[in-house]
Amino acid sequence: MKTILITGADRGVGLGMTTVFLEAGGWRVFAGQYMPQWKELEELHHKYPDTLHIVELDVSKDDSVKRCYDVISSKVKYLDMLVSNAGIVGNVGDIFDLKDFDKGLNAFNVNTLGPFRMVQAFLPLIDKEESMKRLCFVSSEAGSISVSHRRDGFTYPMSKTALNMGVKLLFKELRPRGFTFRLYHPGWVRSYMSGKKNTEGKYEPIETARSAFIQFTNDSPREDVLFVHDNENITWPF
Amino acid sequence: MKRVLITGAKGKFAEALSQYFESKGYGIWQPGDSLDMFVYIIAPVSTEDESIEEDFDYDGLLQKYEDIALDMLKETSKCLNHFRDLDKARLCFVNSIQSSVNRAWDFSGGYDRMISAACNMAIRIMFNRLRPLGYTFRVFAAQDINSPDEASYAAEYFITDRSLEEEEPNIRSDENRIVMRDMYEVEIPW
Repeated sequence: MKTILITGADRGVGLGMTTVFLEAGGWRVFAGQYMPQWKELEELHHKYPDTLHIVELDVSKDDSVKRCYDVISSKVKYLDMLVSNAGIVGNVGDIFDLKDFDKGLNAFNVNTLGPFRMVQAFLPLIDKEESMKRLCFVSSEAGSISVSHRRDGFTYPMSKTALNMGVKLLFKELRPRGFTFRLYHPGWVRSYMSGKKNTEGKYEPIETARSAFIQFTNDSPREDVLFVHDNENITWPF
Repeated sequence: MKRVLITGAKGKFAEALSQYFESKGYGIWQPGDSLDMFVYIIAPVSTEDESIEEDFDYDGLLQKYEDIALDMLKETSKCLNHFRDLDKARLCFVNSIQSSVNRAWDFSGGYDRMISAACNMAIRIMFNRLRPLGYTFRVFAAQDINSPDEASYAAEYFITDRSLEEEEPNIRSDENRIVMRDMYEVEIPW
């Protein structure tokens, strides 16, 4: 049985991916829980009591990531796949009227630094001979400078550009050691990124989660190239 | 006299840039003046490779993001109302060549390059918002912001107009593209 850790699994795309991996069978899923008051993950646990493990996790805090590692490393000898999904919207408005810089800073902390806290903490558990050694990151078309169309907001796209840069550096170091990577744009999802359910998106979280499952679990003939692929397997430029 | 405001990272590059502008007849902007050109120097990032297995100072990276990326946004926002003429207003940025995500493997450097890459995204969004209002943009990719050697190249790049055909805004008008160029005017991919 393979092992996976998914961050931000409470709802939206993270919950969708947790569900899809459990439904597929053959996976022991560790689900990072940030919002214990949100009950969907608990309900899923009733359905999969043996293969779903809920772990308290706030990727923006060093000590929370460390505690999460301690819990998981006491249960398994290695981890096959790490999915850094946890993300928030945090923007600073229009260039003529900037505001909410604390939200912008928080977006960088969660969306950019969060995944690196996770990789650093869990590297000893993933860098094992038995492991699949796959690192998956939920990025966004918002991080693509080349085709950016946005005219305001700033800090959410900046956090995803920064994530893409960091993953590129990580790829350079870890690909020669046998790690494989997925940098995934989930599409425009009817999720909870802004705090409440977005009703205008193009895809339900479970739909993009099914696409993610295929991309994350299948090997690619071009593992030596770092792509941003969306849920329709279309490549986005950096 | 045209006025330039040079802000962001202090140091030899900023000093050399300032001297070069003055030699070209520009005055350094003072509060109350009208502004013609704004130059923000994005603080240099580390040039030493960094391993994911080293301890990261996450609080330090957060502080750096605030001091560099968010400061660039704040300073640019503040300058916008000082321009003399929007059709001639120019926003210029100096970033490290290591900020290129596409060419990340061609240059050494640490994970603080995430911050310089984020700055390029901020510039892109500003371009999308402000170019339709008349502002033009320049992004200079410096090999070494700690050295004054490239400052004259940057200044000339900033001063010089580029092709702009009102009747063909999308095909022969270089001012309507946002790109990053190095001292040889080579476009560095984002």
